[in-house]
Amino acid sequence: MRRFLRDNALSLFFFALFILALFGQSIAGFLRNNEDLTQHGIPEQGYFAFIFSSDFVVDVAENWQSEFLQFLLFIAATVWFIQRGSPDSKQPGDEGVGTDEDQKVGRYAPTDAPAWAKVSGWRRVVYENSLVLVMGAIFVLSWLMQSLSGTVVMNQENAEHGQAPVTWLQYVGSPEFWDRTLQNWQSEFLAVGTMAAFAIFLRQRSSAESKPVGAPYVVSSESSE
Amino acid sequence: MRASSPFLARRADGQHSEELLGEHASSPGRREETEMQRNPSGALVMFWIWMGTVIAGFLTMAVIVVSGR
Repeated sequence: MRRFLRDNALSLFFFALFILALFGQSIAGFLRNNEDLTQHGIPEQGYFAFIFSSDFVVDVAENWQSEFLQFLLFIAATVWFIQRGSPDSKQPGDEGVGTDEDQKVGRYAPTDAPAWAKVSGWRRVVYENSLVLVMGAIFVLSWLMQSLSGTVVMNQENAEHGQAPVTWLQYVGSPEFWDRTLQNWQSEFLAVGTMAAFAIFLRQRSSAESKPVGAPYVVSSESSE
Repeated sequence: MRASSPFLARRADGQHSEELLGEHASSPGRREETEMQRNPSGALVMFWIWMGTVIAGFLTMAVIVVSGR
């Protein structure tokens, strides 16, 4: 058990943070929602009724989609774009998908390589893009959930105000949907861009996400310039 | 949230991971890592904890949205 905890400390640490933050969000959202209901003269909702409502889903989903979009773009963009000096970048000249030898696939695959890296055809195409495919699928599903739950929430609010309900397509074209979406996207892009640039000159000793403290500014992660 | 892949992490002095593998293949630390690669049960547990969490999250969201709550 101690070995399991040590070997998986990073993912366990973030899993614990995720559960705590989600629980905290549910409590804060529940209290805020009841304040809104009281102001509108509507009876308060129970905690479980709130966390199983579209009010909670739309807040969760809009953050999920932006986070997974961030990782999706970062994974894909670092195939084709480099940032000289960044530990997250390949070295200049290495842009692109690389050779089979570099990627250790097909006849270059070692004996202990994943099975789908050793074969050719559709299985290898799927496996060599599996990270982007899964992150992309989670992004699309999250964005879909945000739009569907957002439609439900908007229609509940419209009903309270005596307004006509909207369709899903009308909601997807609404300022409300794009306000929720873009306010998350801009912060994610800011964080990724600043990290790629800051890590050229700034350091965190012994972090896997930083260059060694004494590494020159111009050296990228794989570079020996 | 920080976006990065540990698979991109390389030594800044230019040594690639495969070079390090050959260089230190006989060291105890490297033997331990090779052993873990052969028996990735702990890593698989973590993979499915996260994947299961995401799938469970989507299923829950779908049920809530479809029910119109």
